[in-house]
Amino acid sequence: MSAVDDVDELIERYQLALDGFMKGDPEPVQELYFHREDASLANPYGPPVRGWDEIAKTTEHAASLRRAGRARGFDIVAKYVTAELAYVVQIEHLESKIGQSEEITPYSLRATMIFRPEDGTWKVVHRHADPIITTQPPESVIHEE
Amino acid sequence: MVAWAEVDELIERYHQALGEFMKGDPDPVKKLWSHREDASLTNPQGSVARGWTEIAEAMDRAASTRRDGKFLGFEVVTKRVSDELAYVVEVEHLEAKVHGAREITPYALRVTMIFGPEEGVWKVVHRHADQISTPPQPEESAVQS
Repeated sequence: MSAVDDVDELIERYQLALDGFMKGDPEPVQELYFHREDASLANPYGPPVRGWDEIAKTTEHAASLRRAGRARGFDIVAKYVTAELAYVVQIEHLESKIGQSEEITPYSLRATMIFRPEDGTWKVVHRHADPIITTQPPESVIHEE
Repeated sequence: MVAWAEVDELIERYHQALGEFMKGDPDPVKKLWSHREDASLTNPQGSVARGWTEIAEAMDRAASTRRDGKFLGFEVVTKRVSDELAYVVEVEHLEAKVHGAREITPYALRVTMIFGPEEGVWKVVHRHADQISTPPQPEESAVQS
């Protein structure tokens, strides 16, 4: 298969894995990640983390807050594939029960994901996701501590 | 490696250009961007801009709400460079008078930037930036209210 086919398949598998994540299971997502020191994750909850141990902890924590959810759909904004690195920018439409809530809440994430191959297998080497979908006021960059 | 040096130089120039951005001038940042149709910008104000026209508009809007600021510094989380594509994950420390405020306010951004060479010159092809840089975020923070 070409790199484009491999990356398309990885993107599709990640989308399916997110469906499991929304049900509280981080493992399908974790299987698609590089388990290496230079992998990184900037998820909706906090500062960027680096290295597999931190990524595993962060994904487990986020999945533990989710139940009975699903991935509703994806809009690809941009995708680019080269022999050694590839990336996708997508909007992810998700829903789940979050925290103690008994209601299923729909939400969307802006996600940038970067992929690279190792020994012929493409994996996720970085993910950056946030829920900033609607236009924010300029002062939103400043935290109210 | 030549690509490493060129990407490092582009990152340094981008940081300098952000200093001008914080004073309200988006032009130095714009000069470092790809004008390709598949370039994209997901900025802290909620943009999902694709293509140069939308990206330029989003940057004009964001810069117009910043005055008297500067680029304070950065921490690299990870960086990878290949001949055809490169990326950096970093935390940027900035300050400005935001949206007409009288006081200068410091803030931090989580940033993923992706770079590609165009006719021998490396350009920014994607930037994802948000203000989720201080732990911990509440459980509900992934949900857009």
